[in-house]
Amino acid sequence: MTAHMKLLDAMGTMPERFAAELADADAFDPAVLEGDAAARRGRLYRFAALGGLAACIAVLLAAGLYLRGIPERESGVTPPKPPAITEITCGTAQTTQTTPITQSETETAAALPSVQTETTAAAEHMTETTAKTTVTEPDTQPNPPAHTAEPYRTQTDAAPETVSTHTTTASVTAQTDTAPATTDAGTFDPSYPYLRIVFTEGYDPDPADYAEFGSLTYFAGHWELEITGGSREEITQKVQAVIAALEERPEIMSAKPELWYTYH
Amino acid sequence: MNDSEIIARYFQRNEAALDETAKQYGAPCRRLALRLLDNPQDAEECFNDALLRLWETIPPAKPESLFAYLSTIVRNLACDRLRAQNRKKRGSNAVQLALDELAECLPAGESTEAALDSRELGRAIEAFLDAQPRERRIIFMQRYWAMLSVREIAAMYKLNESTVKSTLKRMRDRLAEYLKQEGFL
Repeated sequence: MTAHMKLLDAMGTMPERFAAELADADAFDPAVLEGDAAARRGRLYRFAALGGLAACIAVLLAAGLYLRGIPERESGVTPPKPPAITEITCGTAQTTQTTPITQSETETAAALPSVQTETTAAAEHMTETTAKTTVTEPDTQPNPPAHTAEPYRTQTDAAPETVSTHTTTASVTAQTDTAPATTDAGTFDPSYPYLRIVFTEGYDPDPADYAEFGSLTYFAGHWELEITGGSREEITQKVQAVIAALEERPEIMSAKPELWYTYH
Repeated sequence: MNDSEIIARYFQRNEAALDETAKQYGAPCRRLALRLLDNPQDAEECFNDALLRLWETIPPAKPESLFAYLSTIVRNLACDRLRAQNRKKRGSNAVQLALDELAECLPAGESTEAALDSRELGRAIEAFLDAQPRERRIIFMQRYWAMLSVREIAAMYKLNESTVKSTLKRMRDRLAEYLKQEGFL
């Protein structure tokens, strides 16, 4: 006997009361089954609603985390400047050395002007300080070697290397642009002229002898006579006068005096 | 004429009882036989045999529901006729389909199948159906006893076909679980 026939027989043993229920279609209440279905649908909808709510919460959380992370990412676009950059803006010599190594070309290009500016400012400041020092330097320096131009050394030590180099370059350029002092002293701006004099070894000049022209100070193996006071014409005359006086005594100089000046 | 009056005529041995029975329940019983046998002539013969069986059993039997009593006879006779026919033919496609569905609740394999007594299985199904709500039981009986299609059941009780299908599916699942608990599976 197949399973189907057994099922057929088994269903045939159902009591008559079950079959009697089939006769009364009016007694059937569809709402019962529809209610079951509705209840199932309700459970399904509640489950779907809960799922949707959970999904919304997840989306909101994700969006919140995303929005919260935007400032961090934006700040990441422009990375914080390393210490080297900060030092660059200060214009120190140390920064100048590290810049080509640690910074990209763009950043270096952006940083360089500030360095240049700072350096220039430092150079000007140094020059100004030099002038002041020269002016206030006592004329009664006891011993030139002991004197050793302390203000200059102090300035050199304090200023960055680039500043010193720049200053030197500017001075040389000025000298190059300027005609020899002995012949064409009036062609430059004599605002702050000074003569670089190399006296003969063993000759010890007295700054008081040059006080009428300016202040005489020793610096790095030579003497510098800064011409001070008066108008431009007067300064020019002083320069010509002191050069003429020095040329009258060539024995005290080991080289021809050179006229230098500084810009302000 | 109600069932009591018709049955009373059976007791009086009044042949008008047969005419009244055929008039009242002939159509649904012929459909039941036709669904099982898938042959109008066989179904008509089955119904006539059922009326004869009714005449022979009443009295002494005094059924509460004449339709239930008659339809049960019709169904059993149809199953006997099916069984007597060639075993290759298991009935109509509708019956085959219904029984295929119900077979999901039964164990597979010949050994288990042979050990399963149809009467014991019938009692287990009866107990299961007894515990079910009336509406679900009616749907189950209409589908697997009367062999109505899902569409016919839905139309008869004004239900969605999906509701009928889901109800039947859930009842089959519960029946399989019940048979497992009872040791049939």
